[in-house]
Parts: sequence; structure tokens; C-alpha cells
Amino acid sequence: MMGKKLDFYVLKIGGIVALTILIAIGTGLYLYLYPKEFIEVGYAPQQPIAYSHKLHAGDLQISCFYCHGNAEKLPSATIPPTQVCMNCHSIVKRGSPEVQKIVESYEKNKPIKWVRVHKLPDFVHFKHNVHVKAGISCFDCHGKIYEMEVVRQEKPLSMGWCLDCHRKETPLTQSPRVEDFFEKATKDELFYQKFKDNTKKYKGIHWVEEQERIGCSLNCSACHY
Amino acid sequence: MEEKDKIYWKSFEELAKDPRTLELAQREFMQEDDGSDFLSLSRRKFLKLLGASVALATTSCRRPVAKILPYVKQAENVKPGIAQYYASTFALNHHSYGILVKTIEGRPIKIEGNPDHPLSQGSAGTWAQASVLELYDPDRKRNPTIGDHVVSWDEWDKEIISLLQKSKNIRFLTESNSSPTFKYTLKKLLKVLPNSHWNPYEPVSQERARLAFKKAFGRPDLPKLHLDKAKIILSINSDFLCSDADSLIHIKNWAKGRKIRSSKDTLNRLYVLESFFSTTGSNADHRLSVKPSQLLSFALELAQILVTRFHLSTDPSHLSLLNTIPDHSEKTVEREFLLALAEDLAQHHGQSVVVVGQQESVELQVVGQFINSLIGSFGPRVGGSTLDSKVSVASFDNGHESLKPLLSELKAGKVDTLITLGGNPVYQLGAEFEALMKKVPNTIRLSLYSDETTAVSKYAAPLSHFLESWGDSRPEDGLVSLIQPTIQPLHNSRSSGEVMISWLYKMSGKASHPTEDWLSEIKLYWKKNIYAKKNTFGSFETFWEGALQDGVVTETLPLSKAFHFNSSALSEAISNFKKTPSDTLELQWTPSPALFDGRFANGGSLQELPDPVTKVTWDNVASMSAKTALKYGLKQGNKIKLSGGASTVTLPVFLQPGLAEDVITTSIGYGRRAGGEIGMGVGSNVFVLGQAWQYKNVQLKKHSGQHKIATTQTHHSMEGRPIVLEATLEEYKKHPDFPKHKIHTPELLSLYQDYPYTGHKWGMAIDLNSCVGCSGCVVACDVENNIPNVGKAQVLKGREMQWLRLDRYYETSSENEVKTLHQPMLCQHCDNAPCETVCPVSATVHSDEGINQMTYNRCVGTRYCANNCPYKVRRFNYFNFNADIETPQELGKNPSVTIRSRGVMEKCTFCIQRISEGKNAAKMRGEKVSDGEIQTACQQACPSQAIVFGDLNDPNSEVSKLSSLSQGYRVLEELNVRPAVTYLAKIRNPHPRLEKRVS
Repeated sequence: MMGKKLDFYVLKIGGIVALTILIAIGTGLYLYLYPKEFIEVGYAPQQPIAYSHKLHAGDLQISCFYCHGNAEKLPSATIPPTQVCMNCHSIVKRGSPEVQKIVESYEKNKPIKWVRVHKLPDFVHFKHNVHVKAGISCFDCHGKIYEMEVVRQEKPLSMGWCLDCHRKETPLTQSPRVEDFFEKATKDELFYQKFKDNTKKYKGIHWVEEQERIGCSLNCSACHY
Repeated sequence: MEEKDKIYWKSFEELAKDPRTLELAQREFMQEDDGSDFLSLSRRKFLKLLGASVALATTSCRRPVAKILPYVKQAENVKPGIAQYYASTFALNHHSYGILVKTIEGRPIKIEGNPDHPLSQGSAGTWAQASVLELYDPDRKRNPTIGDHVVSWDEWDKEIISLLQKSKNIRFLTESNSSPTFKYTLKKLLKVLPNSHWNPYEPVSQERARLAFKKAFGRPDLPKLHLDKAKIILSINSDFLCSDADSLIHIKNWAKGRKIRSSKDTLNRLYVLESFFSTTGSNADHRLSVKPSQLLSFALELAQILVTRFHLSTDPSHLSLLNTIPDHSEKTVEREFLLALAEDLAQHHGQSVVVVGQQESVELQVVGQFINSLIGSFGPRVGGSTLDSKVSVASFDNGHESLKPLLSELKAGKVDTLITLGGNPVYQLGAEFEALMKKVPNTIRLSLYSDETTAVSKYAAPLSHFLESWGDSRPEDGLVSLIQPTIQPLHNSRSSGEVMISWLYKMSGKASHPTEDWLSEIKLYWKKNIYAKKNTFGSFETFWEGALQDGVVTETLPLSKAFHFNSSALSEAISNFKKTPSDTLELQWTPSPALFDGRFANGGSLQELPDPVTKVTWDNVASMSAKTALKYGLKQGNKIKLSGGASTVTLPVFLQPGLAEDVITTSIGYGRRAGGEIGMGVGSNVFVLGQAWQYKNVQLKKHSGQHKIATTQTHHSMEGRPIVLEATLEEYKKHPDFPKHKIHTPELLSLYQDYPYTGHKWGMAIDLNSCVGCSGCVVACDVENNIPNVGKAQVLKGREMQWLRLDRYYETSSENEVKTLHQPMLCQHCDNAPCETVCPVSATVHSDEGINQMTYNRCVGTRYCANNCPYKVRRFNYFNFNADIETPQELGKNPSVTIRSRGVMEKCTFCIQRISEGKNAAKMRGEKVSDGEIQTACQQACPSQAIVFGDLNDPNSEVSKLSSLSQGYRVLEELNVRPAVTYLAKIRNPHPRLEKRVS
């Protein structure tokens, strides 16, 4: 009777302890080997329409806000409705098979099923508008979108990475603001060339001029609620 | 100080120092378990789960593919993630008030009060708050049916129309509806249908009040009550501060007279004479509890005192009539109460009012109105009388008396088609009506749920929720408001108006009935009847758009009416009155503050909402005084059988202080047999006893077995420390800073340097003086913060999840009176928070704006924080309570608040999502956050504006001003936790003579 009970305890407790240690080691290894930088960065899924940001934003210099205007006004940047594509493509490049997909979506009233690239967990509440208002450039978080044929995730979008910026006590250095860049680039060929050269050296937030840091919160509940 | 003798207590168990209760109070968590939880795993199952989770963990490195579907054509005004508000109306029984429906991407997620509507003034009550959960209730009826077969609306309509055209005697039985267009259209329908008749029915009716007014003043119209204009208020069995359908505006107006901002301010005085323990009674300055059969006797005695001693009547017939009532002894407590009350009423001529419960006997209501006519409640008075001589509130002959002709017709078998629209007559009228209904050849049913009445109806169809349909409402003269849909019907349902219009159109043909849809019908009616009388220059469309945007339109008020009391009504009341020394057991019903008459029984949030006085959830109980229980040898939780007449009802015993001897009170609305999984089988249906609200000669029999009552009053106890503070107005004027004398706080020092809050410093002030305990804030918090319901079994284990609770304390230092205090208790956001220091993973930390933050994704569920919280406000997710929500419930969740999972601690966040939203909006404008711009959900819902939230660093903010008032105190300040919530102590306004008797 006694032996049986002892056996049971040894087996049960011993087994549980051993398993817990194993799981802990496994989880540790997993977390160590697969940080967000590895699993998230570089994610570039194929989209239903071969839309090129390089062509539209880079070569044609259409402002980011022409399509993603909500990024300035609302918490979510949003993907533009088909209608916005049709502003130009009702005339431009009607022959292209990719443009035909847009026309079809518009005429049949069927939304285009874009694949989501940048995604934060549900317990994170990120607001585009205040970041744009504070002078953060699109390129800071999304990378050199204007050079991408297919959009890929450039930054890890992890909490540590967010805090890298939020923790800077000194005035924040930033990449050019989108509006300023496009406005200047359209007028000044030299600037555009310089910018193109510079982008090769672009290393995120350490790029150009300094701007005052406003309201950079380090509170947990700034994003988590 | 004599205050030291005052003992505050929450339950009899605590007062009697029951060892088990005391032991539980020592602990934060109740540990016992009945083994039914799935935690009790077998070893095999445990290993299985372990294996599965390891397998899952190793395969999850691939990212799941998520799709984004943008609009093809952007809908105008729809901004993703930004809430939009639509003005609408919440209607209940005869009353309605304006609401704003908050929608996110086309889904209503929250109800708020419409600031432009005079009957809501920006607040929304318990039931309106919960109605958004009702919309997404998965138990709603989804399709029209004939018998057991699901059919399309076209088939259903076709069948019904051929049936209606064949029928010889059609009867409509509907719930009350103050919609003018509904009435107009129904009348048109009645004209088209041969030999048809309409009866409205509500168990909580205005029938008796109307009859009393007809007898007293010759008109059945009920004048509007203005409590803000009253200095002295007497309530006789009326719960105008909670369970009445129109309580919201009454709470608002009453609380206007309970605000103390300086020692010059005065208070109104509330006397309550009642036979049950209402929320109104819990707010009384003086409360007298009597048997139901004695109410009329006391009312007559009061009238007698007013006429004989204070000579308020010049009519000699009144004097001679009242002299027929036998005199009473002078020294009893009751007599002193009445004398003091009469003195107050006489001294405040024109500024006092008597409110009689609308379910009370016609005689009592006549006497109540007689007193009102004596004390000048009807005016004329400069600044307006307490009872409006112009404006009447909507009321109907919708009671049991008015139903009698229909019942006799049903008995005689004359009716061949019975249409029940809304309501739930089979549940409310009992087995007799059910049997009668089964005899009717054709029964047509339109309802939100498949309820008891649907079960005996052959043709049944689902009604749309009011958030899905068009409508209008006229709650009182001179005020009409619109109901507009905020979402497409979720199910295959139609609104009552749509059904009627469809029948009308199909039966009378296009020529005689030009509109086919309900909206055009409403517009047509409004154009003819409301727009035409407005005399505006704008077009109807402009007027309509404006009405839709504001949600409310005012109309010209009727002329002032004279209220001449008809003496014959008084003589009739007196002649019917027999003073009987009653020693039998009496039963008194009350509407449920949570479920009203049972229509909200399937709302989990409401079922789990503790009753404001008893704090019982998920049950109706037989409340009785400890004396009565002793007399019958009963203990808390014993099951008893009550019989009045032929039927019996089984209820559990609940010991309730402040009830007269030989009185049992219980609430209606429970014991549903159908109409949704949540409400079915909860409590007992007392409607089986009949339709009267009071029963004499009730037989009580002890029944075997013990019932577990899930009352939250013993949970989260703070063990007799000075939590609630109170004073009388007199004491306050002598010592405006009395809280400082009551709690001796040592100098609060800290080893650490204080944190300099340079930006915002959020804080809250709660005025205990105007909080009535209606619990609207609790439901608002539930809806805003996606708080799950846990069910009765979990509540019994102390696992209720509400972030905000209303603590109710009794104080019984005087022999005859039970004084009650309501205290909203929520996270105090302490600057030196004890919970923060014990969290091993820093999941709860302080923000630089003074908020005690709770980071769910970091929490590992040690529960140390809850153990260390002196206020007992942290809630733990023992299960994934959100795991078993059913479609379409997920649509109603607030997307700005994370859904918490199992093993996570949660608590009040000061509505951090609203703070974030407000701050961001201000940032986008480039301005500072203005005071009052950010409101917490509880603050917004509170009809008495007892809760004020804001920035303590702004000296001009409302909250700063309130926090610095002399009667302000912080709970457990001596612990040096530095809470951000300031309570304004309760200040009572007793009659000086009655108060002396006490001390």
C-alpha cells in the first residue's frame, strides 16, 4: 500500500518536474532561435494583383497618402478601396491584365482580397494618425516601400523595436516626412537624385534632420488595453 | 463621538460574526471546489494535453495568412475604427428616452444617453445599456414558422392574410407602445379587418393610476413629476429611483437636490413609506416599513393630520370625512414619523410631493392625490409645480382589469384569431390564459424570442430588435422622438410596423394604401401630424433630417389643466377602507430592478447584476425580516412554499433587514420556461399566484431542501474598517470637514521621493450623496469593457467579474430604522499601489499619468496582486469565459478593448481606451485635452452624475474642485496607498425631531 502510494508520487511529481524542465528548455530554445526579426521580417506574400509600389510611389512619385490617406487622419492606415485605383485606371493602362482585375472588382462590386503584411497582435493598439502627426515617416516603420515590387515586411514590429524609438530621450532623428519628400522631389531634380543615393545608405531613424520629440509615451497602457 | 457606536454591515452573517463568513472575508479567493471543473484532470488526459501543446508549440513558426478586404466603393462617412453615433430612442412600457447608439463599422456596440433629449440628458439606464447585448443574443427567434416548419416571410404573410380575411373575430393583444405611428397604423389595420379589437397589456401597468386620477380629478391623464422642484418628497411603495420604467429622469431630478458643494447648500428630504425594501427606500432620510395592508391606513392618517392639525383644507366635508377614521395613539414611532412628515409637507406648500406606486390600490392612489392637492403639488407656483399641470406622461389602460372583456370572450370561445404582438401573456397571465389560448383556432405570434407565448402559437414570426428598426415614440406631451435602425436585421425578422404595413398593403391593395414600407408610413405620419404643426419654413425633408439627427422634436404644449379634487373619490376610498388589525402573512411583489417584468430574463449581464438592495444575483428570493423567519423557524436559503389561492410558488428564504413583520417580498420576472437558455429556470415565476401585487393571508409551508443563493454582499469584504462615512446636514454645517475627524490619519510619509506628475494626473470623485445604487454604471462598464458573465455557479465561488461593484452597507444604530449606504467601488488607482509591488512579472505598473495599468499579455496569473489589494477590486479569469460565446455575440464586443483569456487578471482601467482616444483626438487638433472631454463609461451612464472623472493636475477641472471639497475623503487613506478616487461623504437630511429620537 505504502509502496504503491510512494510510486505514484515519485512517478507523478517526478514526471511533472521532468516534463516542466523539458518544456522550459524547449520554449527557451524556441524563443532564442526564432525572434521576431527572423520570422516576421522578410515576409512578402504574393498579392492577388501584382501591384508595384516601386512603380507608383518610386517612379511615378504618387504620395503615400493619395491611397493611404487614412494614415494621416485615422488610427488605421487602411488599404484603399478599388474606387481609388479606378480614379486613374478607368483610363490608364486598361489593357493590362492586372488592371483588368481591378476593373473586374469595380464592376462586379467584389472586394480585392489583399494579403496582410504588417500585423500587430490584438492586444496592441497602434494609431497611425498620431505617429504621422508627430512627424514619423512612413519609411521608419515600413522601410523603403518605394523600392519594393512586392511589399515585404522590413522591420520586426516587435515591442522592443517600438521602444527603441519611444525610449530616445534626446531629440529624435528621422527620415524625411513623406509629404515634404514628395513635394521637394517634384520640384527639385537634384534633391530627388540625392535622396535616391541616400536611400542606399538609409538605416532607419538615423537619417536626416532633427525634430522635436513630442509625447512619446513609455506607459504599458499607451498601447496595451 | 457617538459615531463610533455606528456599525456598518453588509449581511446578517457578518453582523452575527458567522465564523465561515469571517473566514472567507480574510481570504481574497474562496478555495473550495466541488470538483466539477475541468481542472480535475486525470493523469492520462494531462499527458495528452501536454503532448498536444508541445506539438503545437513546435509547429507554430509559420505565420498565418490574414486577408484584408477593402471596400470597392468607400461608403460615405464610414471611417474604419472610428465610432459613429446615431440618435435613437429606448422605449420600455409607457416610457421612452433618447439614446445615442455608438456604432463601429456598422455594428452597434454601446448605448449612451442623448444629451439633447430632455428625458435622458446624456445618461442611459441599466436596461438601455443592456439592450445592445440583447440585439446580439444568439437565442433570438430567427425565422417565421408555421407550426414547426420554417417558412419564408412571403409564405407566412400569404397564409396569415388568407386567415385574417376568413376570420370573424380578431383580437390584438400587444405590449404597451407609446409610438404615435404604431397606434395610427394599427387603427388603420383594425378598420380593414372586420370585427377586430385591440388590447394592450402589461403586468406593470398604469391602469390603476389612471383610474385613481379619473376618480380624483375627472381625467385619467397622469401629470409629469418634477422631483427637482420638490423639497419634501414622500414615496408610498414607489420605486421611482430604480425599478420604475421612467426612473432615469427621476434619479436625475432627485439628485439635483442632493448636491452639496458648500455649507450653504440645502438638501431635499425623502420620506419613504413602504412594504418592501426598494432602492428608493435605501436612499430615504426616513423610512417606515409597514405591511402592505397597512399602507392605506397610514396614508389616511397622514391626510387626517394635514387637515385637522395643519388646516390645509378649507372644505368642511374633508374634515368630517377624515374624522370618521379612528384616532391613533400619539406616542408610537409611526405616529411621530407621520407628524414630522405632515409638518414638513405643510411647511413646504407647493414644494413637496407624494408619489404613490402605480401598482398600488386605487384607494391608496386616490388618497395620495388628495394629499397632493392639499400640499399644493399641482400648483400654481412660480417656477413650476412639482406635478405638471400642463404635461402628462404617456399612460395606457393596459392592466388586468382592462383585459377582462377579452378574457371573457376567450372563455366564451368567441375569438377565432388572436394576434399577440410583443409582450409575453402566457408567462405573465399564467396557466389559465395558456389554456384559453390553446382553445383559439388561430394564434399568431410576433416576438423577439421564442417564448412561452410562442410555444402555444401556431403562426410565429420574429420581430426585429429596436436597434434594427424604424419607429417613433411620444413619452409625454410635447415631446416626440425617432427610433432609427443602426444595423440591418441580423436575422430574418421584421419590425411590428413592417408586418402591419405589409398586411395592410396586401389586403387593401395599392390604391387605398400607397406606402409599402414602414419608413414611408412614419414619414407620412410625421409630415401630416408633426411637421404640419411645427410651422417651419423649411421643407419636410430638412425637418426630417434635423429630427433624425437630434433624435427628438418638441411640440407645442397643451394648455394648463386645473386639478380640482373630487371629494366623492375620497369618501369612496374611506368607505372602502376597513381598518383591520392584520396578523396574517402578507406577500408583496416588486418589479425586478434587473429583469423588469421578465422581458430581460435572457440578458446574462442583467441576471448577474446584483440587486441594488439584496445583492442577490441569478434568483428571486422570498425576502423577510429575521423576526418573521424566526417565527416560522426558517433560515437563510430554506425553501418555502407560498400559496395564495389555488397556486403555490417555491422560493428560497432570504433574510432582509428593514422589513415589517409578517411580510414577504419577492420580485417578478423570474422562472421563465422558454425564451432563451440563460433565463430559463432561473428563479421562480410568481405570476402563477395571480395578477395582484399584494396578497393577504398567504400560507407558508417549509419545503425540504436548501437553495444556494448567489449573493455578492459577503464577497470582497473590507472587514469593518471606516469605508463609508456619513453625517447629517446639521453636523456637516457645524463641521464641514467631518471626515477628517472620523478617520485619524497619521502623517503619511514615504521612504521614496514622490513621483512628479508633470502631465495629466487622472482621478475620480464619487459623490455618495447622489449615488442611488441603480447599478446603471455596472452594466455600462460590462458593455464597454467586454466583461464576461460567469454564471451562478461561479458567482457562488466569488468569481463575479464586474470591475465596478456597488457595495451596500446597512447601519442600524437606531432601533426602528435601517439606514443604507451605496458605495461604488472600483480600482482606486493608488499612487503607492500595493498590487504593483508584488507582481513578479511587472504586468501591473503605474503610468506617468497616475493610472494603475494592467497589461494582460504580460500577466501570468499568480493572483498576488489581488491578494494584496486592500479594496478587493481585482478580478481573475478562472476560465476562458469568452470561449463559448456564440455567433453573433462577437459582433457586439468593443474592438478597443482586448478580450481577456483564461489565467489573466483584470480590473478597472479608468476606461483607458477612452483616455487614449481623447488624448489622441486632442493631439490631432494640436490642443490640450479639455475638461469633460474624456468620460469613463460609468460616469457617462450615471443619471445622478455622482461619478466625475478628469485631470487632477488641472486646478479648474470639475474633479479637482470636487476632490478638494471638505466632505471628501479617501477610502483607507491611512494605509498610505494614495488612491486617486475621492469619495464625497454621505450627508443625510433628517427631520430634527426624528433624529433626536434616534440619539
